[in-house]
Amino acid sequence: MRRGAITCSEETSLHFVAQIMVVNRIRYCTIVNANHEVRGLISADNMLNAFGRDFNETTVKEILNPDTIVTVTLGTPIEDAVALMAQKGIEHLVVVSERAGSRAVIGIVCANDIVAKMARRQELEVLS
Amino acid sequence: MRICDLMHKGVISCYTEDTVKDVAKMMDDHQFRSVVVVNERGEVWGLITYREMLPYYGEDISKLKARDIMRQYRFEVDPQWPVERAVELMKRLQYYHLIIVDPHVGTKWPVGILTSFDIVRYMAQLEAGHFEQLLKLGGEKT
Repeated sequence: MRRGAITCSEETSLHFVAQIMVVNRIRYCTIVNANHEVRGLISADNMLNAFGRDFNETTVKEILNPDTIVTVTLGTPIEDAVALMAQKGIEHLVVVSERAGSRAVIGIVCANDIVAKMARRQELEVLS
Repeated sequence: MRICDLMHKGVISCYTEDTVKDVAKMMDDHQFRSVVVVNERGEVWGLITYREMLPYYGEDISKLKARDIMRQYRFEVDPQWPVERAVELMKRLQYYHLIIVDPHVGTKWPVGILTSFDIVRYMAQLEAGHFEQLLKLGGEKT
């Protein structure tokens, strides 16, 4: 996984989220609340749902569906994480804290890291 | 704005008989999320993205062929289409990588690719020199 994540709040405009993605060359942005707990993840694919609207006026909250958050913890086996990605048809998973009641963001698992592993045939038991 | 103004010119391609391991290496070496599968005449036949690769994690991908896992690609996208039409197609078909073919030749030769990230680049509306300004603003906040 990649430790740390680039985050923004639900009140951020989609125009600014797009700029965050482009400047940082990432295809996702993790959405957190005031307590730094994960609320969701917006990918470049999700951003298309807002195409045609005023990007400056539309906020993340309007296109984010918190019910679709997919998270794993540091102890999740890599095979389970990949199976989850394949099943849900997503390319990023948010890794959150294992502490009970905490949803603090620890990092991100990206599909390109998985494909890199497949190319190099390296086995990894757990995410950490 | 037209598709040809936003798309990546050129594609990374493989043949239907290439192994999935070769495809994974191409993706890793070039840091591309998608590889266009072409037939022996160089025509677009299918597409392999990370989503097609993930279900085969842990398997012996050196024995699998590109044609076994590729997503069929049966439509043509013209580089002169407006971006709005491309976005509509992406949303409707859930294809976030559109292969652009040359409309002036009979065969479906790929000339470029348009991804959801290219659309985000368009949404960001960053002008030349604006990158530095944005990074500076971000730095001041932290």
